[in-house]
Amino acid sequence: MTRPRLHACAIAAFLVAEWPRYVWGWRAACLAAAMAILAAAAGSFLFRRDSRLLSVTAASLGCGLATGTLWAMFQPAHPSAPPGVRAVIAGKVQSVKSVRGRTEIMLAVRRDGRDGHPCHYEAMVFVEGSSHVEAGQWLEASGTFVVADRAPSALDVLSPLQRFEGRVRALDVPPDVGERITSWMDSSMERMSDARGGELIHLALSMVFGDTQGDLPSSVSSDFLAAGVTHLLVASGSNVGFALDMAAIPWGALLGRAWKRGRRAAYGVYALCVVWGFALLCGLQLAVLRAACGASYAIAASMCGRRVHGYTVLWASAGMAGVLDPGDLLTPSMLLSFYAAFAVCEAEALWRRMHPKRMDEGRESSSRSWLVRAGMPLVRGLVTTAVVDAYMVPVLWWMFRQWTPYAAISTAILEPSVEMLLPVLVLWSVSAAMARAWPVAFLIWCAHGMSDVGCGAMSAVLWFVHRVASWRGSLQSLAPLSLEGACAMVSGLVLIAHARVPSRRR
Amino acid sequence: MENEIRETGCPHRAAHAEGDWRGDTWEEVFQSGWEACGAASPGWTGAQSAAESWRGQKRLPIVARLRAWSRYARVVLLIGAAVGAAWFGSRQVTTGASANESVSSVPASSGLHGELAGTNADSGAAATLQVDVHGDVRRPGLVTLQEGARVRDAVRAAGGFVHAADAEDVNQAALVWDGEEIDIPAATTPSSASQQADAQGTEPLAAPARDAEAESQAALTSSASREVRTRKSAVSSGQKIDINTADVETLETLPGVGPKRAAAIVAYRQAHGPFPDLESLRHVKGIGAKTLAKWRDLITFGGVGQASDAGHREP
Repeated sequence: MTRPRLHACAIAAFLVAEWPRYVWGWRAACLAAAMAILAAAAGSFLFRRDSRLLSVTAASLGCGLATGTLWAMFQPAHPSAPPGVRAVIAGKVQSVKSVRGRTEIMLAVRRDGRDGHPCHYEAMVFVEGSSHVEAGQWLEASGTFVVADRAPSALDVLSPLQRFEGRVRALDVPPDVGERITSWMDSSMERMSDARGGELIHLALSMVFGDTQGDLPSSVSSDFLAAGVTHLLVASGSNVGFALDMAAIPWGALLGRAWKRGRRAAYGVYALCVVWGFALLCGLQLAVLRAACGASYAIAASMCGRRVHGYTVLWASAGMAGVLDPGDLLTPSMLLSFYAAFAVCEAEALWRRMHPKRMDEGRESSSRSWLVRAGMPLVRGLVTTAVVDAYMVPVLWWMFRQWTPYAAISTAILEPSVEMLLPVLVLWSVSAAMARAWPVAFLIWCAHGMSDVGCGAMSAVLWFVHRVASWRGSLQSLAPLSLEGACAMVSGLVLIAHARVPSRRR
Repeated sequence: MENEIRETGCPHRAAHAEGDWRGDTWEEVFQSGWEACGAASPGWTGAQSAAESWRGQKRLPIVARLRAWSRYARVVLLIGAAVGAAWFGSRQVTTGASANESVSSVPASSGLHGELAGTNADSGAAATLQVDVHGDVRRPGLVTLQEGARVRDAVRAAGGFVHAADAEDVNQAALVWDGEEIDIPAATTPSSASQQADAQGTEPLAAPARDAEAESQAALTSSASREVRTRKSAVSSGQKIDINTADVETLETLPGVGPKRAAAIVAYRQAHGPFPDLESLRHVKGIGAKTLAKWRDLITFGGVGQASDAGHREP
């Protein structure tokens, strides 16, 4: 068995033991571990009695069980009070919704009981009447846990959600560093903007740091949803890559020259600081956390002088996320993030098969017409986004029963455009911040100029998204799809992508 | 494998063919194998050989030709399969809707996540909601939808738009709520409204007014009551919002106001009492002079501060 496959099996075995132990308890963990050992034994037999697979799997299962037990001891994933008993919980508001005269608050519970001991689970808090609560706020809820009156869905099983009824009160918890910095940038940019700037500024910041505070108007969010480009409003792996690209500029110009020896290690440490600093700025959203884990693994590998493939990075990021935050490992957001990264790897692999690199590519590219050179990235973007969207169809269908047929087109056009715009947005925020800190006439003039450019660019993005969203059939509702159906569809797509035409026998 | 090596003269290509499921192709061959193939036989690609064979310059066996084109075909097939399945799924919804004219099968929620977080996995029994759709639709009246439905579904259940142009001014992606009244405006209404605004010499206000118009049209689809809808229409028609009585949905129709800022205004109002004048709104977090300048002609303060229409106290 190859080393990448052993690596993948080790991480899978670790997660198989750790997550059920933490979320479901000993019985589920032991059952999962037994099944994993059986599968590893069968695999070892198939792979010419390779005993490494069995030993690696056993060791990983042991590590997973130990890690899951430690998490369960210090930060349980279940409420301490049974249903019907009065309880007090506290946590951060994820989303708020008003339905039929009552408010439904999705709470990431981090404190449980009167003593406020640490915990890690999600609860839906039902509050009678309207309650002025906003995302990102810390709340304390007092009341009782209740049992759901419906059978749990597959997602409920993967990511248990507790139901809680009672009253809430706001807690005075100071915002974290990321929130404070983005709020400061928001207000600085708003000072330098003209009319209707607020919405565009929120949009610009959402594209860089994600819309964690729910600042965007619902009409804008709806347009992005219908155009199939909601991922642009969420900080993800591409944003982490962008942060690294931006950070490489001062490194190359200033910092890198200071290190004559150990330059690779120094840059690795610098890049790790940038990645995790950016993740902190984004409020450690799950997609960014996964991307930061993957980037850290790739950076560490490059510090050791090794190249790693996308799938290896994906597995490594799953393992790191499992160690850092097992409670959120199988939440819908994290699942979508992992699956989207897998789809991107698949699309890239398919593109490489279609257009393998050749040694004389550089020589040929100079002789190509400018039309081909300009059009090839667009074609590549269109093909890869179409493949990614094709892979996303089963999962989005299962989770949301939605399909956005124009997503590939809008993503292929918008994503490179937004990548080009990101430096402008950074300059916009930096100039606004500098003008606020040192209100010199020149800086203010620069900030106003950048504000005009940034607002214009964001207006163009908004216009395009609105146009696509208003096309006929831009957001399709789909018939219900079960988890089994979704898995079958994904398997079918993977089969199409990797099935080989039988070779001719002589 | 050996046959493949003999056939192609390239061990990496053979490894690629062999290794999709058994070898290292998944992680490594894509990365190294094809580059090595390129080095071994520069200029060769499957597409080229297929094209050459089509031109008759080089005859390849049919299996080899099939292999050469399969890399393109698999992408087309993959996308086609996903799109076809999704199209079939959407057709099922449409068929269900036509079978029962007033019921549209749209995202139904079940389970805790589905019910609460807007996800719809593994549906079971879904809650229904009723909305009143009228205006420029073919069959105006009461329609029954499933929870999680959007305006597009409501319009479809009401027979669709009378004129195709009607769709341009409606945010069809907005979610609908139980008891909502959806009024689909005729396509001519917005332009005539903006022309009227221009004719009245309100050029500086024209852009925000048009924005408010568009926003209010979109907001019509998500309001929960006739009163709110009327207020949102009022913004576009030049009427002003009473900042001391407006609810969150109505406040969201103001330019630059999202759910968070609207909630902040309401929270401040509840904590400190009504706003006496325009300047007092600056105490709300996130509202500055620029924002107030935009709102100057859009809001009033009721009887609290005896404010003028322009949002200032009368001298």
